[in-house]
Amino acid sequence: MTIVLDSKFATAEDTAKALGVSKTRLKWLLRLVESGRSKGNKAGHKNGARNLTSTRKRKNARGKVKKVAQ
Amino acid sequence: MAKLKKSRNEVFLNIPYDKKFERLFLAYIAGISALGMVPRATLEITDSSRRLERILKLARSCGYSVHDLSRVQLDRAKPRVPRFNMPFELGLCVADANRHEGQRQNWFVFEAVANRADKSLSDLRGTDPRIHGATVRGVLSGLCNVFRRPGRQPTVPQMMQIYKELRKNQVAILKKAGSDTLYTRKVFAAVCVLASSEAGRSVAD
Repeated sequence: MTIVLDSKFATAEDTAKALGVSKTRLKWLLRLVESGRSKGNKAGHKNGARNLTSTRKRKNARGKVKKVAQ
Repeated sequence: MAKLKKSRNEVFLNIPYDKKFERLFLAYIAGISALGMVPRATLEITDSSRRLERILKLARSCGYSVHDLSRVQLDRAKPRVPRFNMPFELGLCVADANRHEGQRQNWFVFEAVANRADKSLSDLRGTDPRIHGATVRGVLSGLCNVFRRPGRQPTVPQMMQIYKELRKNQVAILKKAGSDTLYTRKVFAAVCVLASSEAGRSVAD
């Protein structure tokens, strides 16, 4: 059996109202979604991981030490 | 008693609240929100006084109800008992729906294993439960089969995208709420709002 929905498509505001979420919290949640969306493009993340400059330097340094030892 | 007005875009979600079920819990919220509806759950009822009455009132206020009967195993903690809450609340919803003659079915049963409900709840024979196989995709496609929204029907990949967003933001929400579980009123509400916001963006007109 399938139900065909003809009611209004609930927005985040409708959901917040139904569940008693305060306006402040709603704003924070909407910001959370927005920030998650923009992060990926700005900071050059790859698969959620970010290489810190210090990590890169350490890895490079480790490589040089190995080469010297050989 | 005053007649309670049903909200046609609210779905009463009757599921087990345990750690192992968290993924499917988020899947139900993602799927229901993608369909433009608002999930409601007994998590919203924090006061223990007259709990049963409040559960009934909440279930009655929703246009539809979804019941997951996949948790039939014995609890790990002593005393080892099965959880009766889900079948009990299903019974309440079925009884309430049957009070009004001619009303179309507004309750739906989900299970993880095919034919198991025939044994665990044989009274339901003739009502085919949706089998989700304990997978997120199974829950999402089950919801897609139960509900249809012409003109704004979400696809399973769109629902999956919402689910992934919820998973991604889970830690931040828990931290903000000062909770280590998803099964609190505050966290539930926050997850639902997030899912709705994501649905509004990804499920286009």
